[in-house]
Amino acid sequence: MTLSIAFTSLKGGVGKTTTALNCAYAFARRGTRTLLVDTDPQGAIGLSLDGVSERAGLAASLAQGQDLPEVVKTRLPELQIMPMGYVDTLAIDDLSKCARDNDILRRIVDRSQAEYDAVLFDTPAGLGGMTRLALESVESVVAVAQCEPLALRSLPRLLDLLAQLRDAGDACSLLGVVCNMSSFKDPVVLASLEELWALYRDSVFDTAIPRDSTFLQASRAGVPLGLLSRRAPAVAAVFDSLAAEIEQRLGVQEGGEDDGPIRLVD
Amino acid sequence: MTARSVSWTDPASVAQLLARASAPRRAAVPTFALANASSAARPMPRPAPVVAAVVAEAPAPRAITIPPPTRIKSQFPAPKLVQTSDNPSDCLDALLAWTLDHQRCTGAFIADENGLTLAAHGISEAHVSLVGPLLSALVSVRMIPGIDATAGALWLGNSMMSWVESRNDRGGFCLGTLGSEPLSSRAFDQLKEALEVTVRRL
Repeated sequence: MTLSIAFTSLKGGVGKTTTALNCAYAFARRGTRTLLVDTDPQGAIGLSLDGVSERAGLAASLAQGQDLPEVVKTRLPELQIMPMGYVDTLAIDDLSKCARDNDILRRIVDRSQAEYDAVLFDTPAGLGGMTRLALESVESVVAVAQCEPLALRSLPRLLDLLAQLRDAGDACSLLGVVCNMSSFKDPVVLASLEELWALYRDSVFDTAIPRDSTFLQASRAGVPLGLLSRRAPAVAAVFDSLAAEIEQRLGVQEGGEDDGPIRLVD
Repeated sequence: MTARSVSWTDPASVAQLLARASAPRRAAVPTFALANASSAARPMPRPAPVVAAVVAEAPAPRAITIPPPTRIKSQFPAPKLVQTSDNPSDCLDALLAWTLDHQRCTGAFIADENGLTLAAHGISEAHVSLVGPLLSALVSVRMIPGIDATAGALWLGNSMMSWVESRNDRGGFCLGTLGSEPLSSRAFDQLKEALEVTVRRL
């Protein structure tokens, strides 16, 4: 069964898109056939990846009453992207209504069953509109929390929405909380980290994403961290770790019955 | 200035939300119930009231020892305590009244660090005297770096005692409440601030 995961936060600027994009890349590198769907009307994925921003995507399909848009292929055969495309600022409110009327995100999940092992949704900040639609369409939710007070204070609102959606019969459940932009140098960040661990305990992923200037370099180049240079920067490994943790929490068995330790020397 | 948490979040409410948001998926709602408006609007048949029947046949329960709340406390933030009198006894009475008015509790007390009751309502002196050994035990806990340990809650068997501690040059003072559950972290902050305001005048 295809995994469906939304990367979400009430607060903006916490690193949802960066986390979703680099996790998708890490999933694909692990051999997981992955579709990354941009549900942000700002087209955050398109703004993050060189070569995607000019592509038509979900917005155009909805506006023209077409079926699902064509996916964008990447240099990794296992990773494909469904961008948002350009959305007129005045039409942003209509977009989520149209998406709901067409049940488009749930249809994406349903159609992905044969072609993908995982569908990852990058969502806009906030809990209404496209975010809520994404939450209603997925099985799992990764809450992205920047290690700072405002992000921590807004986190219960996301949990409350998830609880209400589940009460209403939706399948979405919190897979975990990932700490973003962590640092052991700043006392406020450290206090936020400690409190996040104290409050959310086992829900917090062991993998914390550090604050690192390499993210800015990747953003400038418009590439995932792993493709910033021929030799991937060390920090890219945190997403391999996070992807592995997500799979572990979802009970994904790798390789089937024949899988197991492989001898280094024959 | 009180040391407030970074998240301004009540741990108990987060735990409840996590349980609701992360629990295994419930049984799916049958699609026909959603597709057919008339059947969706029809109320589901109620299961037989098994619990009610059992309760009716069961022997009378033991008397509940927690006294009922005298009034439903507001969920809005409590107003800050302002002490206007220079008389220590008046200040303690004002703190006690403020606590009973604005916190979810059935009783409250003020004691010194030895557990000697200075003012109390709705709680026995025997319970207040527990504060003495409790605060002594916490002295060693405070030696651990990063542990404040000037507030806490203790399950007494049928009720929960919550307390905060503050010090002046005369020693330590403790403001506590008695209720059915521990106070929220926000309530602890409010209590601590009110106690500090009062202790400055003692």
